[in-house]
Amino acid sequence: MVRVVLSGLAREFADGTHIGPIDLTLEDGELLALLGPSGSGKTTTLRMVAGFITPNHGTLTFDGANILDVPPRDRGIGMVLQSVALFPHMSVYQNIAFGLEVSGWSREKTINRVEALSDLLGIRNLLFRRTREISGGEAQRVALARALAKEPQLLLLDEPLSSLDPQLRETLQFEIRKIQKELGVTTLYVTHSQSEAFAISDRVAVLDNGVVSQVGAPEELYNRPKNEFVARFVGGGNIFAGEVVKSTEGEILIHANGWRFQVSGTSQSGSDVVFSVKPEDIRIGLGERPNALAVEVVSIIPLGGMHKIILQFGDRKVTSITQDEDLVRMLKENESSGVWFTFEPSSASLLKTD
Amino acid sequence: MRNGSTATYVIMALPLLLLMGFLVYPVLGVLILGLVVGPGSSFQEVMSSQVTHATLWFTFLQAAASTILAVVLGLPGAFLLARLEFKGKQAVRAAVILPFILPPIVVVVGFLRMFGSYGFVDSVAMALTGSTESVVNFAAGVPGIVLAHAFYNIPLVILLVSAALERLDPDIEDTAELLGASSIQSLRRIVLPHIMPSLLSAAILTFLFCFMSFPIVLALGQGRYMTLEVLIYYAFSSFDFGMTSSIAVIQILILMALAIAYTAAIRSDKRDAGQTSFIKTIPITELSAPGLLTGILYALLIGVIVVGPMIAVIDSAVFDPVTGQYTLKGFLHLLEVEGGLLPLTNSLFYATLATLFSVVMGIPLAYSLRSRSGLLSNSTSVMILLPLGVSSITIAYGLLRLIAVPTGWAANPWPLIIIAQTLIGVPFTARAIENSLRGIDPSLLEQADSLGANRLQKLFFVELPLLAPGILVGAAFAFAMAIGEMSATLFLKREQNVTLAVAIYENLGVRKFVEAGAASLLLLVVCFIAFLVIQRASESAFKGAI
Ligand SMILES: Nc1ncnc2c1ncn2[C@@H]1O[C@H](COP(=O)(O)OP(=O)(O)OP(=O)(O)O)[C@@H](O)[C@H]1O
Ligand SMILES: [Mg+2]
Repeated sequence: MVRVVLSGLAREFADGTHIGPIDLTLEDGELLALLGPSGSGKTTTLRMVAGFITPNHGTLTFDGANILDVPPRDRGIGMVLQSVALFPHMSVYQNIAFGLEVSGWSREKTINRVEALSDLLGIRNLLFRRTREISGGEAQRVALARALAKEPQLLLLDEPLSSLDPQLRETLQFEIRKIQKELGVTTLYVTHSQSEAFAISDRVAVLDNGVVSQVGAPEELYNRPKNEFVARFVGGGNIFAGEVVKSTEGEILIHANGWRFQVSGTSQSGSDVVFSVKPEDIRIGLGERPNALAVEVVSIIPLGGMHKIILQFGDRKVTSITQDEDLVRMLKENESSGVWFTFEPSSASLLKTD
Repeated sequence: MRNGSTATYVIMALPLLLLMGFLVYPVLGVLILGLVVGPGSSFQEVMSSQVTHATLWFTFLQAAASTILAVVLGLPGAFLLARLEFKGKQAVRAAVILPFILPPIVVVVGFLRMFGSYGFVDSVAMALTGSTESVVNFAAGVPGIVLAHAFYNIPLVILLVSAALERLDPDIEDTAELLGASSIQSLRRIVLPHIMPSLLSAAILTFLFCFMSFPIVLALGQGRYMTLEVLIYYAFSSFDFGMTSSIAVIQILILMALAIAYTAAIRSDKRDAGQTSFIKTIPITELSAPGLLTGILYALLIGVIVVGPMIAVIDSAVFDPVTGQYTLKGFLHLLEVEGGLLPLTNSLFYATLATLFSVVMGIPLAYSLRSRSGLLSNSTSVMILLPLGVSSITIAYGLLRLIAVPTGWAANPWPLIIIAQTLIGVPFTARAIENSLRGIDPSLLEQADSLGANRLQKLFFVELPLLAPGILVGAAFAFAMAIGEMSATLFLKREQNVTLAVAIYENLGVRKFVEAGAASLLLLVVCFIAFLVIQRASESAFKGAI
C-alpha cells in the first residue's frame, strides 16, 4: 500500500510541551504498534501523521513523496479513535457510507461496498440500528468498517480497544490483525498496553517522553531491550546497576549492590553499567550454597500456571517467574534455610545508560 | 429527603398545595368564570371578532419575525463564542445572561434613547444626512418591538447553541474531515444535526417569550400594535371579562403547545449530550483577514443592538430630551416623597418578600424534583413549567378576581403583587437549587449519616451549606425578576402600590423621560448587582438556569 517515513518530526505546544523529534518508518503493509505510557506523545504523533497537528520540524513522506502540505482528507487515511466517534444521529449504515457519499460515490456502489465491509466485520445485522443501540465492541467494528470504506492506504488506530473488557479486546485484536493482513493496509496502532502491542504487531516502536526509544520485533524488544526504559516498560525486567570490576573475553564481572554478577558482553573495566534480567531467567534455589546470593522472599503471587516471586535483595526488589510447583511449595514451607538466586550470564542484557 | 416520614411529605407537599391554590385554582377558575358568567362578550363573539383575528395574526407574525432575527443574529455569535479563542472570552460568556435578567421596561427606556427619534442612532443618521429633523426611529412600532425582542433573545440563542457546539466531540469532526467531508459538508451533515435540538429549543423559547411579550409591546406598540397579552389587559380594563377569559384561553392553549414542544426539544438535546473534551478552537490571531473583518462587523452589530441600549439607559438618566439638556432632576425626583420614593419603597418591599417566599418554596420543590417518586417529581416539574405557559397577565387576572374579591384585598392588593412575583420567581429558585442538589456527592451525606447526624442536623449542617450557592443564584434571579416585574403588577396595582417598573412606564406615558431614565438606571444597577451575585455563586454551583 504505502511506505511511511517520519523523520525528525517534532511539535512544540504553546505551553512548552515538546514532542519529537521522531524518526520512524512504516514498511509497506506492516502493522507497527506505537507503544508508550500516558503522555509520551502517541496521539500527537498519530495526529501529525493524519495532518491534524502541523509539525514544527521534520518531514513526512508517503512512498517518498512529501505529504505535509496535503490536507488530511486527501492523505488516503482511515482512522479509528478511542472515543470511537461514531456520528450519533446516523444509523450504522450511514456511518459507514458517510465517506463514500461525501466523495460522490454512486448509490449502488456505496451499498455494495458497505455490505461487503459489514460482512467482513460481521455487523451485517446491525446496519439499520442507531449508533446508541449497539454495544461497545460492535461500535468499534463499525468504526473500523467506516475507516476502511474508502480503501485507505494507511490506517491509524488510536487505542481503539482500550474501553473494552479484556476478553472482547483479545477477540478484536485478533480480528483487526486478520483483516489488516488480508487487506495489506499499512497500519499505525497506538496503544499503552505491552501485551496488546505484542499480540498484534509486526514491529513495535517504544515511545518515551516524545522520542522513539527502540524499534523492533516484539521478541527483540523483550529479549534485547536497549535501555532501562524499554527493559522496564516492555520486559517488566529486573534492573541492576554497578561497576565493571573485571573484563574478560566476551564476559564481564559486575559489582552491584554488594555482590558480583557474571554477565555476557564487553565493557571496560572500571566503567559504570546497567543490565537487565527477565523474570523468567531468574532461578531461585533453597539451602546452603556457597557463591550464591542470599535473599529473602517478600511475596509469592499465583498467576495461573505460574508464580511470581518477589525477592528482597539489599535495598531493591527482584522478580522471578517460575512454573516449578515444588519449588513454590518449598518456599512457602521454608522457615530456616537460606534462599538464593542466580541467572545465566548470557540471559542478562547490557543496557545503554543516559 | 430519603426517609418517607409524614413530616417530610407535608413539607414537600406544601409548596405544591400553595401553587395549586394561588396558580392553578385562580387561573382555571377565572377562565371558566369569565367564559360562563362573563360579563361581556361570549367566546363565539370573541372568536369571530376582527380585533381577535388581527391581534392573533400580529402576535404570531411579530413572534416569528423576532425569532428569525434572533436566530439569524445569534447563530454566528454561538459559533464565534464556541470556536474562537480570544481575550475576555470568559467575561463575554458570563455577560450573555445579563440581558435576560434586565426588566423589559428598562430595555424600553434604553431602546428609546438608542434607537428612538433624536436617539444615538438617529443622531448619527442626522449628522450623515445633514438633516435637523429626526431621520430614523427604530424604537417604535414593529421594528422597535422586533429589535427589543432580539435584544433579549440573541443572547439566549448564543447561550444555548454555543453550549451545544462545545459538547460536540472534536474527534467526530476530525473523523468526518478524514473521511473526505468538506467544511460545508461537515457543517451540514455533522454540526447542524448536532446543534439542531438546542437551536430548536432556543427558537421555541424565543417564540414563547415574544408571543406573550407585554411591556415591550405595550410601550413600543403605541396602542397600534397589540399582542394577545396586551389585548387581555385592555379587555379587562374595559370590564369585558368574557373577552378577557376567551383570549386568555386561546393564548394558554397556544403557549401550552409551545411549552410541550420545548420540553420535547430539550429532552432530545440531553440525549445527545457527550462529555466536553477539549474543544476545537482557533486563536483569534490565526483568523484570516476576511474572517476577522466579519467577526468585527458582527461584534459591532451586536454591540449596537445588545450593548447599546444598556449604555443608553445611563445617558437617559441624565439627559432630558424635552429640554435637550443634561440634568439631575431625574434622581431628585426619585428622592421626593411625592415622586419616586413610594415606588422605590414598594419595589424593595415586594421584591424582598417575593424572593424570600420563592426561596422558601424553592427548596422543597427542588427536593421534589429530585424525588424518586415519579408522581411527585413529574407534578412538580409541570407546576414549575406552568408560569412558562400561563402568562403573567392571566395569573394576575385570576388572582384579582378569585383571590382578591373573597379576601377583601381588592382595595389594597399588595399581597397579590407579592404572590404574583413569587410565582414568577419560583421556577428560577427551584431550578437553581435543584441544579446544586444534583452536584452534591451522595457519599457526603452517607458520611454524615455514619457520623450519627439526624435528619435535621444533616439538612442544616451538611446539605444547606452545600446548597447555599444554588440558593443564592436562585434568589438573585428571583429578585431581579421581581423588582423588574411590570405586567402583573401593572394589572393588580392600585394608586398606593405603584412600583418602580410601573412608575417608569407611567412616566414614559406623560413624557417624563429623565424621571423614567433615572429609575431605569437604578433598576439596571440593581439587576447588574444580581448578575454579579449569580456569576460569583454559580462559579461553584451552577450551569444555566433555563
Ligand atoms: N494541544 C496541546 N497543548 C499542549 N500540550 C499538549 C497538547 N496536546 C498534547 N499535549 C501534551 O503533549 C504530551 C503528549 O500528549 P499525547 O496526547 O500525544 O499523549 P499520549 O501518549 O497519546 O497519551 P495517552 O496515552 O494518555 O493518550 C502530553 O504531555 C500532553 O499534555
Ligand atoms: Mg492518546
